[in-house]
Amino acid sequence: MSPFFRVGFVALVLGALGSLAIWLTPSWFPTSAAVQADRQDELYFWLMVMSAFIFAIVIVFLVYSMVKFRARPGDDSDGEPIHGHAGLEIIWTVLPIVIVLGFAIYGAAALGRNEALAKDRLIVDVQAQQFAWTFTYPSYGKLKTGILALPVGRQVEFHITAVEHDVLHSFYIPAFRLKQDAVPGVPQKLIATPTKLGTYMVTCAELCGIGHSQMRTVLHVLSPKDFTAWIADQKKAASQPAAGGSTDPAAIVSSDCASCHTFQPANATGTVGPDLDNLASDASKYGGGQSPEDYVKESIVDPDKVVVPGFPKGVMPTTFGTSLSADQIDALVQYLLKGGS
Amino acid sequence: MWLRGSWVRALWVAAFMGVAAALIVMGIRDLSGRTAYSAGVVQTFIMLFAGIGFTIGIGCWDYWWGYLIGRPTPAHEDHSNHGAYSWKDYFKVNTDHKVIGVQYLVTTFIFFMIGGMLAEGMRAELATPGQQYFSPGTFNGLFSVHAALMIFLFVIPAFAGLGNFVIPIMIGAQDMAFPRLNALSFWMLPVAGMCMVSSFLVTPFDAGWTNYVPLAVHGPDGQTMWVMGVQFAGASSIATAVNFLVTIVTMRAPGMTFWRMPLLVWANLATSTLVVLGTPFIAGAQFQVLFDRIMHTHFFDPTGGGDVIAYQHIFWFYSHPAVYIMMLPGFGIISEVIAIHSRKPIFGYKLIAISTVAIGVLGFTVWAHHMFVSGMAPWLRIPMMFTTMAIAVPTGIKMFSWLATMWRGVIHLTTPMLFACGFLATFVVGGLSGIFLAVIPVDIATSDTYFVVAHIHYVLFGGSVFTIYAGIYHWFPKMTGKMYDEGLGKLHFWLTFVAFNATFMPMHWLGLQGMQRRIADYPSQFGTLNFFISIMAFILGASTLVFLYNMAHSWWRGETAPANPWRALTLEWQVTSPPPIFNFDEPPQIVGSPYAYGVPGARHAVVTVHAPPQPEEVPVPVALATATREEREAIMSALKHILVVANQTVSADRLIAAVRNRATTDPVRVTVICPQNDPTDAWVVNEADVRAATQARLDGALTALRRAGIQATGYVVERDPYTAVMDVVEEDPPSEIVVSTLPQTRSGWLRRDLIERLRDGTKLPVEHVVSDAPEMPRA
Amino acid sequence: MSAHVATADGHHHADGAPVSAYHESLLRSPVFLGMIMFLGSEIMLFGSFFTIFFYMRFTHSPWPPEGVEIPKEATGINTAILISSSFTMHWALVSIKRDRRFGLVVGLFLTLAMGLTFLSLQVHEYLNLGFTPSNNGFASGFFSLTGLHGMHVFVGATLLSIAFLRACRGHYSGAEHIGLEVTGLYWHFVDVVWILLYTVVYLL
Repeated sequence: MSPFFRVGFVALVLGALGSLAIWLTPSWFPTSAAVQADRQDELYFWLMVMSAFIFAIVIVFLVYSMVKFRARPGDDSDGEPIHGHAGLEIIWTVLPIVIVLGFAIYGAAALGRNEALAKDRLIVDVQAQQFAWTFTYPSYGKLKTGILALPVGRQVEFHITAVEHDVLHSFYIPAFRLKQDAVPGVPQKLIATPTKLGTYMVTCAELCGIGHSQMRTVLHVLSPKDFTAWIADQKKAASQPAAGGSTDPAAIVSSDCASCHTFQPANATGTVGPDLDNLASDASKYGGGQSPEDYVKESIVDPDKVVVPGFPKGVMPTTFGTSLSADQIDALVQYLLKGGS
Repeated sequence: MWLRGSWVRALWVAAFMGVAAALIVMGIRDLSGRTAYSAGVVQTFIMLFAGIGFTIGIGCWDYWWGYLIGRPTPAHEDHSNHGAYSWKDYFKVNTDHKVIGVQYLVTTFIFFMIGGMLAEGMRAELATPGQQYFSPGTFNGLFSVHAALMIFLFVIPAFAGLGNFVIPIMIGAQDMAFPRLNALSFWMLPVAGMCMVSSFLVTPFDAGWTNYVPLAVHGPDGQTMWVMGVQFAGASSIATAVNFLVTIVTMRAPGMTFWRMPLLVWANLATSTLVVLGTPFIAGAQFQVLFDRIMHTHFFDPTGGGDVIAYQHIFWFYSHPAVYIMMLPGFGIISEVIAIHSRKPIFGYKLIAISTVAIGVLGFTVWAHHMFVSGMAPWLRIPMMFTTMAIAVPTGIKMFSWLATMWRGVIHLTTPMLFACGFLATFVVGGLSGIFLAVIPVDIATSDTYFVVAHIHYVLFGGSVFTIYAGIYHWFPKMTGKMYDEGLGKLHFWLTFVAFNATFMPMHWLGLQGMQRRIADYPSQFGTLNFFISIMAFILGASTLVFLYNMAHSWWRGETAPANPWRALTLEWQVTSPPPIFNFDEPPQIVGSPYAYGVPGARHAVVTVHAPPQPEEVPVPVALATATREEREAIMSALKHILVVANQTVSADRLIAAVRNRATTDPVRVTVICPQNDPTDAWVVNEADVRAATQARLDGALTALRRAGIQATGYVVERDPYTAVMDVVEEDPPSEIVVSTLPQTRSGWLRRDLIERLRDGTKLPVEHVVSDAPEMPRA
Repeated sequence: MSAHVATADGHHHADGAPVSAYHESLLRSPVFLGMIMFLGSEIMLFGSFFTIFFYMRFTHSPWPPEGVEIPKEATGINTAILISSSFTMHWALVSIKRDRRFGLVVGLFLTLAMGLTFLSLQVHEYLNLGFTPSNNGFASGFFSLTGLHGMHVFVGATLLSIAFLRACRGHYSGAEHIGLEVTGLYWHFVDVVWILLYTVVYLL
């Protein structure tokens, strides 16, 4: 066999071994938690197999040439005057066309299946703003939460927007392998069907300002029974359907604070900002002599004045002073300090 | 001082114009009833006018201005701003493409270092979770300015610089089609860089180099600096591209058909077309952002009738071709390096040339693959996926062709070849990850994550930067006349190759795991890998120092390089290292392929070098007439050699007197040269008449000198006075020079500071004699 | 641009050998070719503004928005003036090709006069429109497109002035008038862009 075919054979064998290794090693992705993720992972695997072969061919021929055809010291001769080879050039034009066309068709098919609409899908509105996510469940009385929960096995249709006059954000769930930009004033659709119970990361994937890194929340995929229970809990914590206007501090915490803060009495588990379960001791540590009530109130209306060490400035919205009435703020302060009672 | 371009004048004019523009704008605003001071408006006008003022002050516009105001422009270009005779010429406006090429390369590498420092700053912050050194706002500024500098102030202009130096020689031309425009293109680059870097003096622009609206419109003051910097860099880029296109189309040497052009020329042809057609779109997009910011227009404001996603379409319509602008010249360099260092013809030359053009054309059809998750019209996604996949095919063709070029070659693993091989290994990774990103479901998963960061750095660093290094090492001997240190070069390569892969390969994994890009902080599970990447990134940064040391030291003290150290066939290797000021004495003849290796006696071109001009036969005084040859030579060499330089004033009494003065103290022999590049007052010039008139004046002067018993000879030269003097100094060194000019107000030579330059350049005593000569007769 | 061949030709040799050997492969004058390419980039610059204009136009109605009135007829007359100026420019070029200085000078004068008239009428229109760029998307597009065009007309008028002065001084001849060709090309470009602009912005 001529050296060309021998080397080619070695390359193909290495490509095959590489593919095998890829097949056997654990996935580079986080847990797959949606139908769309499974489809993407399979597509990705085949792309990796193709890459293994191409990479092997390039590297093997490259290294072989560098070693075998290296000039001996003092060798001033020229190589052979080969200008081309029609057959080879046709092969490496046509074969890549076939490969890329194949993957384009495969990708288009997968996309079509990913976005196929099911009949009983759950609609969830996703609203992005600097720097928090708010989720609304229209079919559950427009319940608003800062944390996302979904029932396993049921298709969800996200309606994603950004607040008017805000900037671009992107709603990204790595475990679903899905993301969609949130555009101010232009609703976007995203389809997902969760398949696995668990808690997953939700992040913003489009640069949106200084709080971009902190704009995270969580997704809980629950069994249908647990999901219904969760909805009920959230509703109880929000005694009226809309938290806006209500003086019920639990509702306010649920809709406005939960995406970034942890506060057990309201089932809030956000980690973007400090934990609110220890406000009294925090006040004595960071309050600079203020009373705990003053400390908590100041933290709400003027969040950048005193920032707990380890957390950045300028992330917490500074608008609560105006978006909440004085009564609401007072009720909130009492609620938070008393540990939710 | 004010009549000539200089740094002092540049800074003064820039300052003056910037302040004047600010005051005028504020005045107009005040008079029309608005608040006088608006930060964005004032900053825009200051940067625009100070930037243009800088280019005016440094002297880019002097010639055109002289033409505009009716100053007699020389019928023959006097080349006073042409060529590098000392290191100082690199800091001035110079029309020699070789000088401009070096200016580009040094300037772009300075911005490479600044951009690299910004990256190291980012990696320091990202080494561990939490906020350590930079506030989120500053961090956003770091990656925004990093990318802006790397793209617009490093990769794109570095290729322009390398092309500037090599391509005119490669096609057998003496310079580019528009040398003065070439100089202006270069000088806009430091202006652009200053704009971008100065954003750190206010709040740096922080919306990423992509500058998406609405974030960009809300952004801080530094935004305006980004916009103006891009405009200057874009203007520079377009002007250079027009120059390349016209040069390549009209100035190829006889016999160089399109199918006998080296592939670097093909690459620049395609790239320049992309630049000319594409760059205006980013200029437009950024102007629109600027107008939304400072004039409160509503291009991208949905509540005012605008559209947010439209920005992305306009932006990416340029910025996708931009990545090919950043890659195609590199492909051209690799073709040259691999063929020459493998001693083999490039495999599949025609197909590579066609692929280059195909990539250029297809490059305009794929922009929306950056917008798969943007919320654009959903039907656009699938066609864009298909066109994006299509563009992988010509790129693949090239990769395989390069590999085939190496097959059965005689490979010399010099530093440029190592970088070319390293490029092949890393670019295949970058290209493959590109195919992943083309598939929409995979893109939805990986868009805006570190997977994309890995991809872009594999194609831009492992791709473009490796090719820039390969090109610089390959052409270093030609540019500087010295050899770089091969050992240090190899060390640089291996450090870079290993550190580069160690830095960017793990980023693929990070992206798949869900780490988004452009974040100052990340969930702690990504900590270990980020720490490793940061360490490797610092090693990568350090490897650049090896390169810089090698370049500086070799340029200064390196071994002298032969004209053709790589025994290559292309034209630039057929002239000296460094090349003569005007490259060729006459157009070379192209007789074959530029890659005709392996065939004994095959040639690409025939280059003819002229012998230097000989002075006319000397009518000798009687004493010498009877001497023997040896005696004559002894007498001649004992005579002090005076060089007289004059044209219109050559027969003036003052000059004759000055020369005779010298003859009274020592025996002298005089060479009179008349540089025939006079400004004339007529607009239609009959060359024969002018030359005859000069010759007549010269004869008159020689007769006068010989009548006084002085051994005098002389000739008319076509060159500008400076070059003419340097020629004589090289062949028959005088011990002193006498230059006779018209008065200050009329002398073109004095306008170009000829006397000082001669003193600097020759280190000889130069006496300046001024005479008023009668006006030249009108034609 | 001197009466001699273009800048690219400015090189000479110490022994006086002619440079013509270098230009056997010249298809056209480099300056003309350069102007064509520069105009290509300018077309794309206008293109980016037309793009955003079209985007806004096809995603919003009514168009123009409520309360926005643009003087179609008055600008129509202005358009006719600009188109006529292209004809006089063409006349000037044809004249000099036949070495007729009179036609050249008068043609250039008329072209310049009409160009300046166009500009003044545009300024007059701006001052009397009743809306500013910051009013709405249409206004933003309107002002940016017409403003960009106006700047190009201004540059064109400058080129025409230079050409006119040189023509008066007799710098051009039938054999040597590349500066005029380039100026003419630029002026026609300005005119064609205006026709497109008028149609898209005022009529559609």
